[in-house]
Amino acid sequence: MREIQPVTYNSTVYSDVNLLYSNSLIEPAQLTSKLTYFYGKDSDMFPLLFSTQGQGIINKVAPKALNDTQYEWPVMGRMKHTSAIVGLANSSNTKPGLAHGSFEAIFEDNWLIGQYGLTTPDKAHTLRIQGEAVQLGPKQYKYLLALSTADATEYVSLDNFVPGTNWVMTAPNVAMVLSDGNRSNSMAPGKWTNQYDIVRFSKQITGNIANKVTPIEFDLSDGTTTKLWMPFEMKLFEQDKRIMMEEKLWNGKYNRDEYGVIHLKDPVTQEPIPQGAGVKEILKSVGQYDTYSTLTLAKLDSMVNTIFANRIDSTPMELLLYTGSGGIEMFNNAIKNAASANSYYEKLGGEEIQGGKNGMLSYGKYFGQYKTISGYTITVKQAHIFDHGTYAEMDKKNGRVINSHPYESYDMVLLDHSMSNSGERNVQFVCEAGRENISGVYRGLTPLPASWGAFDRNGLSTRKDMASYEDMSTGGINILNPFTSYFLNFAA
Amino acid sequence: MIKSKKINIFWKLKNSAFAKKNKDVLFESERRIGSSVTAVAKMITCEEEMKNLMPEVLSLSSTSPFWDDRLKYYWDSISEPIFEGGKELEIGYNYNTSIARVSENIKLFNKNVSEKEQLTTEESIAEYFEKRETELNKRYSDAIVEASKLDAKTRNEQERIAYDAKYDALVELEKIKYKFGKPINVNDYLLYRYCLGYRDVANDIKYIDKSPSIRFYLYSDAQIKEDRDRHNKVKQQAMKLYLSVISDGEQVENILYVLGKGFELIGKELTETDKAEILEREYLNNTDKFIMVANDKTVKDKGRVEKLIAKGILKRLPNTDVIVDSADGTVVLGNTVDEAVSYLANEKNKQKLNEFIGRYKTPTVN
Repeated sequence: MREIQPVTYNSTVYSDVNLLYSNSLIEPAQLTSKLTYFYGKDSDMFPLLFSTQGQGIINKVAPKALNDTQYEWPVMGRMKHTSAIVGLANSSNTKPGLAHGSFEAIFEDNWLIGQYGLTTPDKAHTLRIQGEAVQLGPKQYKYLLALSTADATEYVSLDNFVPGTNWVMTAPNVAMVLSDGNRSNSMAPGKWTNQYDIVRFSKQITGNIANKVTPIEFDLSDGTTTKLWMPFEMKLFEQDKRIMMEEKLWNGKYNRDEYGVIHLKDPVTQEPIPQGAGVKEILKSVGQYDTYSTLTLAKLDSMVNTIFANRIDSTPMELLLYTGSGGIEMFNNAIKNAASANSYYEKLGGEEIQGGKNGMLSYGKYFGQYKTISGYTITVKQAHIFDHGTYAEMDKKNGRVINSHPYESYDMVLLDHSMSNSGERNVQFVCEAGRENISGVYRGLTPLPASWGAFDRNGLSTRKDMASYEDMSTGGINILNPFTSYFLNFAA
Repeated sequence: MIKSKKINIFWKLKNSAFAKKNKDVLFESERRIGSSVTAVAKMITCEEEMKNLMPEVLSLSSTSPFWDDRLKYYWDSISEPIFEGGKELEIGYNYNTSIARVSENIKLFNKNVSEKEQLTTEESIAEYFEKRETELNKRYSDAIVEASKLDAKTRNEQERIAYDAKYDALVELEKIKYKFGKPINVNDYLLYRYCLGYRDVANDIKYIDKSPSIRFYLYSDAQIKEDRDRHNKVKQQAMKLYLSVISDGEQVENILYVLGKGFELIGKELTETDKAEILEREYLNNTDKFIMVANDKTVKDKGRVEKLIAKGILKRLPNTDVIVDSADGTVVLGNTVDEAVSYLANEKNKQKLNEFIGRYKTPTVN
């Protein structure tokens, strides 16, 4: 009996009839004409592309200057009221403020304002800022301070002067009469920058591959089947393209340095090659990041608390926790363990053990949601890209596997898809207007497959027996407010 | 006896290009020390130590049937925020002989050591740990000095080995401290111990770039002193080598060529003093490389290859280390300077060597 090989790979430039022969697709007898997918089909692999581009949540950026794929969006943080202390101006003063005396302290910035109140880090002392700052040097501003106390024995304990500790400014108190005005701090929106990628894929063919029929029935994206080779090969081509695009949206690394220079250049044309930050890099850069080993409810709560600490409005939040099979197991185990620790055996047992069909019992029910103390619901969404994407494939090959799942499968990304206050979706697909996706055919004498679409089939671009399907897209991911999303990275 | 010791956890500066680009508007308020499979396992395997230190942290007796689960849950759940200014940890110990288990442990310890090394007082316990720590720091320091004599690739490997050995030994030492007392601040101490095995923390600022996952580093006053001592030792070694070669004009020239300074020498009428000054600049500013080259037994042969390259007799192919005859690219002397040295030393290639020397001595006509 002939041994069936699961997959054969071909990296030669042109697809031709030899490919079919070499891959044993033209054979005299076959047991079945239906193709068996040993590893399942690659559908449901593109959660980010689906939830953004697929839902029409696309931000088309007008083309800018040559080779510039950057885009910006204005952001506003929360007003700051604290300043970090450098130390006492007079380091030999061991009891600053004693007997209602004023003293001088040095802060890292001049954010504090004369007349305003000031509270020490231990919250035990309130003071008044007795004048404006005097700059002593870079990141050194001297202020005159006085304790607001009736107790002549009170002084500010020295542990409040540990460098880097933050003091907080409070309301300005003035005298009943003859008071003078003060000033206020203001804050302006900043601008965040990211950039989108430009990606190109090509499929080259030669000979009469377009019309070759195989003994195997292939299923196509639209649900129909065909025995023609090219529609199937184009389906694989499109799937592979999407997997790589999806992977980029998660794992992309921004490649412009702080001076705006892209050092990665095309060796032939010397033109810069821009790449944008993906979801993971964006979240890690803003501190919305933690590592985990075995997921616990405490860890989940810690993640949720961080998110809500960053959001004070009551905008409805649609929180989806994207993860692979490994992460789903972790999530389920974390909640089940917590439920068991609370002795919810009966309730859990009732849910887990149920009557199945034909007098059989069924065992197993799994947690896929978690309700926070604030009433928000986190829903787990399986992202197959974490299980079967290119990074997962590499993990498996490198033995970075736990319980049969690649490490990548345990990564969890909590994405807030809600509408922002500007009425836009928080997570968006960004691309260049007019170059969202362009495809074309470079045609020689090779017959073109119908799956390449209705391109000009008369004119020739080359005399050779060849044709090439060319595809170019622009795309990147943008999270308007990343502070309501989170990346929980599995750390081995 | 309370023996205080402080260490700081600091943020590694923003390292992704995206973070750098947006540094003026990114409000990264905290970073978290999270859990990792390896670091958690390292803590849990210190079973006895955990049973002594953790009951007050977990509010649970170590004899409880829930002990193992709760212990693992604690470490799996670790999510300690570290703010921008860093966090100071008190990692010192309170050695206390009045505790019954401590007296027992001292007796056990003394059974296995010589009379001179016997622990008798709290001071002697503190001294014992200090001495052991000084020893391992010295071993590390010596290893780094030795490594500085090697080529870049081997040096990095040796430094890495020395680093791992130092921190493995340090952890082994820390693991037994509980037998003689209790940390001054248990929470701080446990976090420190955890950080020593956590992939996102560099235990030494020097190794902050050893992995892209590093987000923090540990730093102490003792480390500052250690770094200064180590730096001083390397400088002394460089000075010694400088003084030993400076009177040998040919050796100076060879070293300078191997250091890649041929362009400063070729075609110029430099005095011995001029060359000595260039070498002095190199040993002061490029110390590690200078030590490596000056210690290299083949510096004379390598110097000859570099001179031939500088004169244009040989050629290093652009963006490679491959060395070929400039007049005939098919004559490949080697893929590296070491291979070129072997080529010229080979009796079979003597004729070629003489040809190169002949061309070298021929005045250049422009």
